[in-house]
Amino acid sequence: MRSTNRRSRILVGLGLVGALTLAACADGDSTSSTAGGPPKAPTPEAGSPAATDAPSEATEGDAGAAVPNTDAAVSAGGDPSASATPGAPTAGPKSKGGASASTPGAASASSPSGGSGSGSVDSGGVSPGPGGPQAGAPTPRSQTPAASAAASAAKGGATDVGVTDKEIKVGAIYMHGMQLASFMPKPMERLIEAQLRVMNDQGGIHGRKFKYIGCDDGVPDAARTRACYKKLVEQDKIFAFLGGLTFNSGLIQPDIERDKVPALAPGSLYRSEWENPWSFAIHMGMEHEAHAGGQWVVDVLKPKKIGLLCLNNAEMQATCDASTAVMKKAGIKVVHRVTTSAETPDMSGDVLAMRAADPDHIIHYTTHPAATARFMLDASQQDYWPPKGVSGNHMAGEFAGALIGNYPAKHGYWTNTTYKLWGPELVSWSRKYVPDQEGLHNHVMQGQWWSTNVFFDVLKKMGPNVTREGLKQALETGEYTTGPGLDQKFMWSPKGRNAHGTGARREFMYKAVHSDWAATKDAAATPGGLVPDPDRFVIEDTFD
Amino acid sequence: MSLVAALTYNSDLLRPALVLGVAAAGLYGLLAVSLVLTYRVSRTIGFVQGGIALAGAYLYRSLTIGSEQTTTNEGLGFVPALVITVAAGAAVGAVYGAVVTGKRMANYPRIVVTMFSLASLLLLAGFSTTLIPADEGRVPSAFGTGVVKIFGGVATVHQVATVAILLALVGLLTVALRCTRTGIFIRAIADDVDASRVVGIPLTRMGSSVYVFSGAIAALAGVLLASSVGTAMPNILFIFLRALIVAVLGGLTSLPLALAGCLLLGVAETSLTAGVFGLVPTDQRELLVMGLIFGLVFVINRLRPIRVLEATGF
Repeated sequence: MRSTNRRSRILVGLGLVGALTLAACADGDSTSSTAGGPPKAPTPEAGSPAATDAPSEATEGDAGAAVPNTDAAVSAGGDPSASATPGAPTAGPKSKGGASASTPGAASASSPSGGSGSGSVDSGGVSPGPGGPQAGAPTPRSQTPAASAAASAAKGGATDVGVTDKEIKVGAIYMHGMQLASFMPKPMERLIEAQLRVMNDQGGIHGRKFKYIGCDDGVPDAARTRACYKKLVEQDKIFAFLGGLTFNSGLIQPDIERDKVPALAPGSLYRSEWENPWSFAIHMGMEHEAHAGGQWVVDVLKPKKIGLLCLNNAEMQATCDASTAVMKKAGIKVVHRVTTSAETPDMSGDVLAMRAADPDHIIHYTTHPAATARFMLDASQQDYWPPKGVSGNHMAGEFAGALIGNYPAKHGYWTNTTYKLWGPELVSWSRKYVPDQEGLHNHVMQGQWWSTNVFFDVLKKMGPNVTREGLKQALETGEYTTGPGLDQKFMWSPKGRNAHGTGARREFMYKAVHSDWAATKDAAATPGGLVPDPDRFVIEDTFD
Repeated sequence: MSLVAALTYNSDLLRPALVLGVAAAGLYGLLAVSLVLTYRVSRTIGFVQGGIALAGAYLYRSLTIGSEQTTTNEGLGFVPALVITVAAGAAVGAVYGAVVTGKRMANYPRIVVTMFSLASLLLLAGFSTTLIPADEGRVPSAFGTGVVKIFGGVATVHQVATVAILLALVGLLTVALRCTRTGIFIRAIADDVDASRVVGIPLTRMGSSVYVFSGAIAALAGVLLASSVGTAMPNILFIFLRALIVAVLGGLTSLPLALAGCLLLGVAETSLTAGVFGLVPTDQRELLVMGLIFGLVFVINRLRPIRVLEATGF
């Protein structure tokens, strides 16, 4: 009896450990997404570095639920001497032929020939794409090249945390366990990794190559988000965050500010990411979106009553409150407000309630496309749509049109987004270097791609003496523009973070005309199923 | 009393909410059935059924649509994909059943077997999300995109078919448990394992058969859920947990009461969401619905104890 009990205890313990280990590894394994890419990926074209085949060290996911599923460093680029030679195969991405990113000019994301109004490289940088300070803008405060080199040499190249004479470490937290992860965090991370690989293949910046470390915070799980932060900052000692997408990004803003870690191109879902001086958001804040989108509804659609669809977190509830304020000022009644979660499997009851309330128009602020799509699909199944249609944010993704089908486009649907869709520079670049990205671009990815190029440009201008404080100061200086393809600009100085005419307050309104939102195959790379709203394309928050 | 209040408060919404609520019950029903079956034969909670449903949804989507990650988007037809998925579910059930009814584990404490079942759910969840190449999203329904308008409510043909399958299955199983030799064997095993062994009931074979059948039902549930709610893991596991709750209504032993629990949950939830009783905040809705279900569990047990239910095979 005793031996049976002992055996059973051992069995239970082993079973639990094994199951928890597998569960920890199950939520979007970073190894496969960041390094190997998705399984059965198409073979890359000759000459294009595959984002999918870079080697990586095995991930050791921990059994504890609070420990993130982390990827060991993906060190792209391999032997510096090999990568510096044009055409030489590198240890990183496997490429047929080898005449790939090492080829001078191959990395340029200047607009494809024939494209109109697309992709002028604004910064003048050699980097893969536009970005950087606008010509004529104040020069970022920086040392002279000689002084910078001397300062760097004095420190042996280790000018700051995460920086050595050979490499700069960057990291990001992605919620690979979220719904629709294969459409959002995975391709977003893949794109930034590809940009880093291409830069490494060109020899890096001032002799330093980039080392990327990703961390997966699951669904996301707040404990894992904090653990990821701790790991990246305290253990891996990254120089800066670059990219990332997690619904828990608001949780770590105080830590970022306390530790003075630059966070470039975050998901920008939270107001705190705009207010944190160490965070450099690339997407309009939710409250400003609510104001701008709300004012568009008031002026263009002129409803008498509206309904709201809001996610059940504090940020989206505040966003819906901001929308309510706009409506109230205009004398428009909010007749029904649905609060939902991304996990709600069935919203037919909410559709019925909305139908009973009979709004003229519905505005959604759910952040998560899955929640918005669920409402739309249940509404279409019940053949319900408000007479003046539906509008809202965070649906600008190439995949999203197919997700919601043609019903919204037939009956009236609009979505506002920070950048013009989809940006010929971005699309042509990713078609060349990350063919797996076809059909997976989204509005946050646009900003992250551009912001990564800004990062490269700023580092080049800073010289060898790369410091966190120096990076922050550089980013706070001047105005950063994307070029006409994406048609946006940002200022990250304390006053500029709320400036009119920038991405903090200015966006674009698109109207759905059919469900294929993927970029067209031509040079313009516009979404076929989304067109600029004919009544008012550029919207701006002038409410406060 | 609350029905009278509904009629007086917002009667326009009551009938469509009832229709939608019954349709929503189909989401939980099949998983509740598989949970009841496995509990009856093992006296353990079959968490593994949730894992089989999740894996079934992923597999079905992978077979019918594929994913962005595969080189081809040409999938199998609905029927072959359904057959393969249900067969796979039965196979997983067979393996699980062979393990837990085997010589060693059959004598383990039930809590151990329950934990093993939970670990199996996690294993299947990890397997599904990692190894089966399927994106999230709904699979087009094999029943088409038609809708049915009943009493002012709109239900899809898929939802109606799901409820019909559920009702047919519960009916068949109830009759089988009461009137067939196999059903009597299953009831005997649930009542007293040792006595069943003494009288010569083939415990391992019966137990394994139930797990095979339950696995097939759970996989079928996954197939239907893939068209209703998509393949997102949180959604399917959320539905599984709901199924577990409604199965408790019948003490995890009564199929008709589990079905009643599904209907009650679906109708109550939809009615509260739709505003039949006025606007109820989301958090209070959960409280009300769960309070209602657990209150009924208490009442049912007082009126008709579980042992009586089992003895009558009801």
